[in-house]
Amino acid sequence: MTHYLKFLFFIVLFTLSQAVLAVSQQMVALEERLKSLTGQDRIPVLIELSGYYVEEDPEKASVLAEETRQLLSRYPNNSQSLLINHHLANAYFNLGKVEQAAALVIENEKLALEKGNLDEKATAAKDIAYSIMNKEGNYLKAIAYFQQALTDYRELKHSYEIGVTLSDIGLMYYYNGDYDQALSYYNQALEQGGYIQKIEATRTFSDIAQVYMHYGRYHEAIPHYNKALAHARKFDQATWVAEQLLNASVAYLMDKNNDKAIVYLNEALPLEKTIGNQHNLFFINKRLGEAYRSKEEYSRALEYHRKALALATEMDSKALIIQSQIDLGIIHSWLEQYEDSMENFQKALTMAVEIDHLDMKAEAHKNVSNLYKQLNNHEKAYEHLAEHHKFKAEQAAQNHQDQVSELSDTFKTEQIVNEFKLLTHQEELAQLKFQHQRNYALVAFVLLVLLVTFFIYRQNKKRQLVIQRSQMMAELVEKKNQLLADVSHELRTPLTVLQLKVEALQHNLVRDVNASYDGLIIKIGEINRLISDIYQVAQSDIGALKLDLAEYNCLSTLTSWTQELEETVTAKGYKWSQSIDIPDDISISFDQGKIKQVISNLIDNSMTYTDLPGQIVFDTRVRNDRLDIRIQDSAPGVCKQELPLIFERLYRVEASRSRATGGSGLGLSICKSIIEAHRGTIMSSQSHYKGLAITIHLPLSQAES
Amino acid sequence: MQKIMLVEDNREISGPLINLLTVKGFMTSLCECGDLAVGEVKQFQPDLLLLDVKLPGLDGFEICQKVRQFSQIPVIFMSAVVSTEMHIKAFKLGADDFLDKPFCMSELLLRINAVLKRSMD
Repeated sequence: MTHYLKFLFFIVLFTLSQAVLAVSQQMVALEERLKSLTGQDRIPVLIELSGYYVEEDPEKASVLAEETRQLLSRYPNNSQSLLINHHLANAYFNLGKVEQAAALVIENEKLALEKGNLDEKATAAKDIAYSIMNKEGNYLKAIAYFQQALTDYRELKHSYEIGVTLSDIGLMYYYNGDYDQALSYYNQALEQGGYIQKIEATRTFSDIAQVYMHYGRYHEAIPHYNKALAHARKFDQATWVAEQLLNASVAYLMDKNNDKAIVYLNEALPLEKTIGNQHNLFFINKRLGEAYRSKEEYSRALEYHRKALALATEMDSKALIIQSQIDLGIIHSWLEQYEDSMENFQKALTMAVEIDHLDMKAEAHKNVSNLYKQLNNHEKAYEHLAEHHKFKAEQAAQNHQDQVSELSDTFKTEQIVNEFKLLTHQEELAQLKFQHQRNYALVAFVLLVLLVTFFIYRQNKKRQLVIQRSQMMAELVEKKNQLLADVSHELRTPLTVLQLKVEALQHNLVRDVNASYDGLIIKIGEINRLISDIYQVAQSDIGALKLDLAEYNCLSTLTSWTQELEETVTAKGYKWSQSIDIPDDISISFDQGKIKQVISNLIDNSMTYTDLPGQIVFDTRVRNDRLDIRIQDSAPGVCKQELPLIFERLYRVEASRSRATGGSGLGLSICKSIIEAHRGTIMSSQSHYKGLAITIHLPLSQAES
Repeated sequence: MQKIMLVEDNREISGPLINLLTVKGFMTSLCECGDLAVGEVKQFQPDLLLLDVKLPGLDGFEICQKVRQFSQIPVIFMSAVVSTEMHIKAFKLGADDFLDKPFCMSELLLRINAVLKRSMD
């Protein structure tokens, strides 16, 4: 199994280098141009060429990069320095100068952190990650740097770079044996729109398949390899297609689908011949040999293994030669061609000893031992088996040691990662604390603003109230002044009459002296009444209208009043009619004197302003805890517009209901004040008899007053 | 015989005044409604106009304003509303004198004579 995985990794590295093999016309042109340039102008061209030659000719790339660095020491430019260092580090790595590459990426990272933009920082972080991966094989540490780069790319929203980095992180987890994490990152990478559109996504499909291969789930790996293949075909690039054909064929082989493997390998063969990658050609031939061996077509199998051996010899790769010799030996032994078989195994053994490869030595000894066993030479078989076990044991010991050191490395790394996490956590805590403090400050500020707003609002409200109150006061004073002016006018008029009457008497201008004296007395009575009315109005204005409340039987009180009123009214020549609809047991709470005054005033008013012969109608009833009284008179009436005004002080209806009879103009206003003091209402309307109707509603109970 | 026209809606005031003026040798005319006063002035052609301010219909000021459009006869106001503003308003409209109620008859007669004398000069 691990054998196949190693093989796949080799293929990946080889195709990477093959991808850039096609020398473009553009590079030739650039090299021509470089010849004509001097000084600073050479820098951008040198950088481009160096970047191009990193894979194809790292030696040349490093020479170009060194020249660029010298030029940059004269013409400093951070971005260009970062870029050329990146190329040079890659070139060093490709030349196997891992230490130099590592030193350079560390230098580059410092420069990027100090002066680079986000993109350059990300590139530097990734370089460090690659360097750690190659130099130390410490994948977890590498992941930390990849994550840094990922954060930067996410901020820059570079979808393609995000995809590549996610895929790299997936690979790191895969190498570290964390396959679930690896799959998760691969799938995240494929979600990046900018990445899935590029040929590089092929590798991620293939990497996913590799995870299933690792678990031995070849059946599930195959569709993923086919996806990779389909993706590579979209871009029509022979190298990528050939790589995926080879990958898929291995999966088919492992899944015992030899025919399908053979189809894929046969498609890959001409492609690789065109590309000229001998390493891959070797493996195609070897796999074809294995496929035919499984199908028990041994002669064809031999044919392909021989081709593989020829290629290995041509490449002078001892490891591959050993593998081919063993493959051939096995087939020869199955064909019972033991001499040929022994020759192959011996050659493999000799070469394995030559390169001192434990695993291969063990493998060769095992095959030789098996052969001796078939030849019934148990002694020799035992010797080689013992050798096999000896090397196996050594191999196991070495593996154990490797594992122990690997575990200790992992432990150390995890310790570092955990410390790093702890630091990050502490930093987050500090940030949270800071945020909390900031939130408190913010809340305090908001509260302060609210408080200030509330105070301003209250002050404004107060000021408005003061303004309203002063306006009300002003209106009240105005009203009072108006009343005083009106009252003085009302007093001056009867006084003028008095003055004129007295003077007429003095100057003997009066014919009937006695009548004139009577007139004087009447006038004085009027003035007196007027003054009492003014006093009452003033009392109600300052809220000093005192009610002397008591309970009275409604029916008997009103009946006695109407008897008196009827006499007065009929005596003046008016027709009286009444209707009293009140149950016996109803009582009412009021100030008897004041309510009687109201009713008398209203009847007087009616008599004053009704033409003879007229009529006055008195209706009263109790409805819903309320006593209703209505007094109506006959013509003349009051026009609709004037109806609401008649309760105003000193308002006198002009025209027919004129002032002929000297009322104070305060009577109705006083009536209104008294009724309202009893929590009742008084309204005016036109009567059914072409005169005025006044309606009073009085509550039966004055409990709350 | 000089003619005086009185515009006053209160008969208790107009009665004694008409009586007094007649006794003192003036020819008098009484009008009790503001709306009729201007027409009466044109018809009666008085030598002096005695005007109350508060009247049913047109008030004394309005009557004065209309009369001044065709006549320069002396106008004396009488009013129970006593204020400087009233006096100023009356004089601005062309009044010759102003009497605050209550007033005594002799003062009224003196003022009438003074105004008439000035108008004849």
